[in-house]
Amino acid sequence: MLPEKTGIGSGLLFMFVLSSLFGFGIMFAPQVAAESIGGNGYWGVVVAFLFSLPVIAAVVGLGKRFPGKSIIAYLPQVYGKGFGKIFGLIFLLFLLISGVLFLRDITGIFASFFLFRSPLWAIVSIILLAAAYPAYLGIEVISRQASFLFTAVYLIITIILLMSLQHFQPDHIRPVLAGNPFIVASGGVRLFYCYFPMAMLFMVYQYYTEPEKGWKIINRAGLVFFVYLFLFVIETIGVYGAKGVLRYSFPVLELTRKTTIPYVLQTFGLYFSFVWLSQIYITLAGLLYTTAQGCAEWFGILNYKRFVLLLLPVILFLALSIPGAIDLHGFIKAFQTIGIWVIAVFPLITWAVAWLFQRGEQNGP
Amino acid sequence: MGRKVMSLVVFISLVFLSGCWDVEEINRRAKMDALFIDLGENPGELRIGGSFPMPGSLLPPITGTEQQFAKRHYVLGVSGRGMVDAWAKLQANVARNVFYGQLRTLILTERLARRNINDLLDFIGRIPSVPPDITVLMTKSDPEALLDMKNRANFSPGDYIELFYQSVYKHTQNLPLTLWQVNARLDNRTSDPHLPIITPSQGMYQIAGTTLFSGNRMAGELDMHETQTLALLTGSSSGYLAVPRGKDGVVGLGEVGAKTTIRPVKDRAGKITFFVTTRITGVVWETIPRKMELRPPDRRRIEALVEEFTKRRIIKLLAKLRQLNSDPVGFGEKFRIKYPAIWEQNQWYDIFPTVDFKVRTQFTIHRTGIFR
Repeated sequence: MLPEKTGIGSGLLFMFVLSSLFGFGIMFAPQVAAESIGGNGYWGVVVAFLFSLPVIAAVVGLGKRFPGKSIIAYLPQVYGKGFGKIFGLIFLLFLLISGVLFLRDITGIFASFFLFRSPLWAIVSIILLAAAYPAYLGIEVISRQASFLFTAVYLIITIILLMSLQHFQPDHIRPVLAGNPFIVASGGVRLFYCYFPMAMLFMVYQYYTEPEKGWKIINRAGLVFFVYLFLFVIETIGVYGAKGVLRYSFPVLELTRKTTIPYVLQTFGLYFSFVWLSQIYITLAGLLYTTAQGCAEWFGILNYKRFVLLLLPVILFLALSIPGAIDLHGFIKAFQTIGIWVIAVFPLITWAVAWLFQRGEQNGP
Repeated sequence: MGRKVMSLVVFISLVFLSGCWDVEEINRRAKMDALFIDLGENPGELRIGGSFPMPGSLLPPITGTEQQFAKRHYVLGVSGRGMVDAWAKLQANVARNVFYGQLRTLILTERLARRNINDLLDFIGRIPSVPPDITVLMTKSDPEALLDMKNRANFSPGDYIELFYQSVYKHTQNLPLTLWQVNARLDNRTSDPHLPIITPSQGMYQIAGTTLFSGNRMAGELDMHETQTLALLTGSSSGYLAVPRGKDGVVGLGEVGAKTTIRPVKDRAGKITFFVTTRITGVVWETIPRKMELRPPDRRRIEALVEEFTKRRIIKLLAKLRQLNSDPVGFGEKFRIKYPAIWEQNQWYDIFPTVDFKVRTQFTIHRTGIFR
């Protein structure tokens, strides 16, 4: 195995975290919030954000304890070689399946709005190839791409967010404090799926050049994402009502599609699609890169670049083997539940075990 | 290696340069700008159709000449068993591919509206090229003849309706809702949809009055004056109001704005009362008999007159809504917010006909125009 020699600073890490979270989490969150909590589903976003904090702590804590190593490399140190390898494989499979389900999900948007007649394999292949290129070039290129797009993307998204307030009805999000706390908490757990891309941090944190700022930088990115997520959820529910949101396959896109420049009839949906698509490529490239990097480390052979190429047909096959949208929604629901254990619970246990048995650097947290 | 991979990628990309599966030139599209849905002649059948503007005829006439096109659009209508069947037949009747991306209105007929509109709108809403912000209208006349009529302005029907609603001064007379708004009301069940009524009038389209729904089905209708009253309850900014004064007199108001607060209260016996307070503002546009200058006593008299008049109208309208079990105002939403537990356990359509209303109106003259 040829280890990658690269480094990303605080700015690039911030951009990478924000873009990958935005690409992965924003589109379907209002639907999950409205379905699991109801009219005040926005509180679930707050709960999900709170759940993300221990994960960030685990990323930073384990990163300090095992500097220069990814989770695949330090798991055998924590749990012993056998269990460490098995847990590493599970983690890798999680990353791989995240990529596959995410890819297939966004393919649905392409197929529904832009490429009605194009065969699925063509759409999947094009998206995959477009994401594979930055993945092949490595984490620095992916995060630089996120950084390059940042200003334009978030400026446009903020304008769209403001324009989408047209027809917002405060009554739809009221009563504000009437939700059952248990329902809100369980909805928040379901919404935690928006933070699944944080799994990639366990693979890339080793390249972060300023680990002493890790907690602050990742938290800052998580907080910015939380603000956007919260506003999109509150707006979508405020416009369509909790039950009205459930009608739509892509609620946030629908919110922007109904928003027009007055009298010009030009929908904002198209602009939102452009900027959101730029973010999903970063997410997908990140997932592809981290899976390839993990494979290289787990097998101990080849460079991650080779694995990027090797994984392409595997991901293509898996994405195409999902029969249709209805099956996909079932898989995603199950995956959201399993993911919490892999992303939130497992790293925290690993961190606790490492601390308890004094694995890694002794002066780590 | 890098060059070989790059060359391979470039070579593969060449395949896509000739176009893709979805390429469709604009001149291969038959743009539909107004769609109608009606019941078919036979049981279980639906009749759908629409108006197709002819792009070449939409060009403005050369300066100093008459418009050379007698009519700028054509109308097609077909029947089928269900929407998809009719839809396919419509496609079979047109040389180009029917394109819905520039659809501006959807017109439902009265006899169809008295059935379940949710099923029909579900089909339309699933088509991604249909804009979600098209206006949904209702007609009592033959929709095919309505659209086929050459209106005096010689606009294609979709453009006519689009232009009509670009003026905010029309909204209080018919209270338009877009497709997504109708869907949202049908889904949330905290208020009912209402659709403007379109009828042919003097060689043009008159869009005035409102169809009321109770859930998915049409329950009744409001004339233009009742609709203006409904606009006071739902919030308006640019309305009109003509208030009779004495035997022959009138006070005419323009720029009528209104804001209504609704407060539901449940007493110990379980009786639900809605306290409705409507604050109205307006500009005096007309006073008959005319006065040289409106002074404070006149202002008080006019304000009291308008308050009394609008109160009577609102009470009458609310009685009608209750009788039709139709809630276009959104009393259900207010009730859900205040009493979520009761809302969850009961059907709003069982509660609404039993509620009471206590109405209060307040009117303020904002301006008197350019006369004192």
